Amino acid sequence: MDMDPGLQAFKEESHELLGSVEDILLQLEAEPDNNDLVNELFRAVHTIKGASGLFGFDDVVSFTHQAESVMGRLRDGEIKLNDTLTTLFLDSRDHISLLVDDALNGSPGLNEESKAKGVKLHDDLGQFLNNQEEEESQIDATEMDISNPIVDDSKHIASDNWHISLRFGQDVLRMGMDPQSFLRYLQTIGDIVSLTTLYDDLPDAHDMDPESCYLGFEIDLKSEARKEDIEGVFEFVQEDCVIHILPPNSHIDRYIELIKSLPEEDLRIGDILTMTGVLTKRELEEALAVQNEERQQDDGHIGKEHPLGEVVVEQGVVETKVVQAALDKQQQTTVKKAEEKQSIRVSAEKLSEMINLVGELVIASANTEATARQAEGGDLIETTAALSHLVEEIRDTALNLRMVEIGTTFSRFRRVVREVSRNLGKDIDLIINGGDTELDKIVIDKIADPLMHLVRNSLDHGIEMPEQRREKGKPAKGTLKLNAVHDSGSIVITISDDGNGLSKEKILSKALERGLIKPDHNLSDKEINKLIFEPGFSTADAVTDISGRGVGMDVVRRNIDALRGQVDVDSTPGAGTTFSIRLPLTLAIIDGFLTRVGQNSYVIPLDMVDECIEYQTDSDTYIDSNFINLRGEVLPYVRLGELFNDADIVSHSDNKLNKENIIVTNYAGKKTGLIVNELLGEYQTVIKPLGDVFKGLKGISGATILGNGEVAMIIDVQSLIQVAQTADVAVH
Amino acid sequence: MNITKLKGSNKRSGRCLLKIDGDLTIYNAAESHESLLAFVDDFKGFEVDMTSVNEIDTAGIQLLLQLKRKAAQEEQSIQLSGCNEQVCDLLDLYQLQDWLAPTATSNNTTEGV
Repeated sequence: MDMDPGLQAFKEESHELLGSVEDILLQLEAEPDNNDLVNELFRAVHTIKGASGLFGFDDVVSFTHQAESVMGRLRDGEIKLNDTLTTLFLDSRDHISLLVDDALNGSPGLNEESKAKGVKLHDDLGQFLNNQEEEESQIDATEMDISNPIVDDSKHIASDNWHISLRFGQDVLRMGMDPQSFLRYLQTIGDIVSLTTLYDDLPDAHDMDPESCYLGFEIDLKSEARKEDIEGVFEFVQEDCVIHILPPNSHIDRYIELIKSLPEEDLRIGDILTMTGVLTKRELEEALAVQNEERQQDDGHIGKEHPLGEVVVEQGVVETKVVQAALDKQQQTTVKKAEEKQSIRVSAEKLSEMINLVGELVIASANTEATARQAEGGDLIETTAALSHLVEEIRDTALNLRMVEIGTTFSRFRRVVREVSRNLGKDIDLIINGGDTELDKIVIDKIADPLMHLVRNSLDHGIEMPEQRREKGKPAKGTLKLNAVHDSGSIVITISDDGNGLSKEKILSKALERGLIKPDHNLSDKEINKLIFEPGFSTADAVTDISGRGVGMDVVRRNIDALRGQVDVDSTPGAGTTFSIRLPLTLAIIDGFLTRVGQNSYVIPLDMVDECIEYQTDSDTYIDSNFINLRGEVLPYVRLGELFNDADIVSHSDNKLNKENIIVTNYAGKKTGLIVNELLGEYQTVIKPLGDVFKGLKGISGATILGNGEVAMIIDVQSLIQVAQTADVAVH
Repeated sequence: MNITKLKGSNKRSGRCLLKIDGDLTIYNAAESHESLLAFVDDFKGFEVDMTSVNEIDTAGIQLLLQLKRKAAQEEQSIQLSGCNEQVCDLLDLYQLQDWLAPTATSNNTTEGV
């Protein structure tokens, strides 16, 4: 069965909150006196607790409660945040995350190690609480003293219990929430002294929608909780439900107000209140009588009935100001709600579907434009041009919807840097640049792991221990920089450290040992550095628990390859290493350059096309079968027809009547020529991924459907060049 | 889910003996509601055998409340028997145990019978 929508919401929300808890804690390290952050921290953890309680995840609730209590003391200024406490909170956050995942997976239970860790964390947190218990009870006592005189006031109802009136919205059940879970959670923060289930709203059996909720509840709750805590219980449904919460010892008018505001007959609610002992019969009758008198006096005036607030004022109990204040307050809360709703959550599936459709729209519009051009109708061409302009805009906007700032992924590394450097006894600063650079959510999700690996690698192997650094005359504090920039249709992410750099000798000896190279190979520095991406390659002398198991760099490269990206490494011995990852911005639609080779069409990503020139074998530009002279530069080229064994072309390859053109492509600074027959021009290309069967296919990144229904292959320039090179080596 | 009328139901007295098999939850609420409609129309009081009900949620409770309401209109009663722990638990929570009384605890509150 699919995950319950309520649970799904919980999953997303808790992940988000746990993420912000981490951010806040790390930020608090930098500015420990920022009270806003402390409040935010407390709220985030509190919300997780509340939501977990709703779903009956007791393990999460009990642990989170402990953490929340300590955070509460922090908020109240009773304890100060220090290094130990931050670490403890961070570990607790991780544990909560584990518990939440466990609960979402149907609570199979944590493993022994995590369980033991949880117990220890719970105890550690408890140490920050122990000496507080007594204080707390003292505070309680004083609070009671203050409130006692109020109870004596005859206008206040001497009830120690909270009174909660609930009327659930009709859609609650449909939304996957069951009122019982709210009540059960309520039981965890207090004792339900009495509860009355109201089903007055239940329509006639024939008119009833069995999936709607018609129930209401009147509850008396004995609890030490604060009003916000009780409100928090209903956080998930507060928008659809009518909820009234009256604190203990409320003024009688508050009860009358409640009675009036509820949809049921006044007497019915009144009865419930007297039955459960909240009001005495006399109190109720008096209050209702006042209101009735008012009503009778006003009977002459049509439709003029005193709103309850005014009755209260005339009795001289509450001043107008107070009523106004209460109203203002209500308004403020609604305004605040609206502000919070600046972004909406949309399921990734819906978005993908839309982008898919936009893709089809792009194809259809290209088709229309081509047809219009063929028909040579002036007006038609004009309108289709306007249309395709709009379609282009829609395409860009649609793709933009999936664009996410990379900053959140980057800031995740703050924690990693903090912890790893602590473990290793190093002192490392993380500098983030370009966190607002946007790229496709799918790409971001997939790049997170490889990035993590590279970061850990730099921390572990790149940056030296403080003593070593001092000996070399570098500052003891190492620096790791994460940077992201846009560069012609790609995003370039660089991870650079000011550490030791790659050791050429070590790499070479390791590569020889593994048989990756032969002793007589003469490799450039760049080629040597690239060897670290070969499978099973690790130059670390010691395998630590952070990295160095030799299963990494090749996986990093494979992951990046899968995203049609490229990873490069640049290293200066003694001064540091820089990894740069180049990724396409999106995986769905590209601007392509449509070409024809024999009978087949190919699309080359337009970002990579530098220029097109005519291929002339007889001129002096011709050097060798694989190179031409491009304005004094050597340009290697590949014949697409030969490479893909296009029978049509291969058989005619000697036939020089076939006109040939060279498309000069530029990828990451390297130029390569592709020989094709016909240049058909710019084309908006919707990438349709090839099936699993063609996963291993090199040189082709996908296919697209042309306006006339024909299929064109999309050239993956980078891997195509690799393929051409290997083919070349095989020939020679 | 299956709701069957048992022998011993009597249209004249208006007493209906029902047996519910399966769960009474939001997932089959529409179906259950459909099957209950006929009995709500034809009878006044209800005795429901809950032995085979494993799970019940608020949507299920609402259906039973329909029976209860009809019974109350006719000054009759509704009795549940053979409730398992889960069912009793929810009845307890909603404080409905006194009139949706499991016969196991006997001593049903009978209203106007």
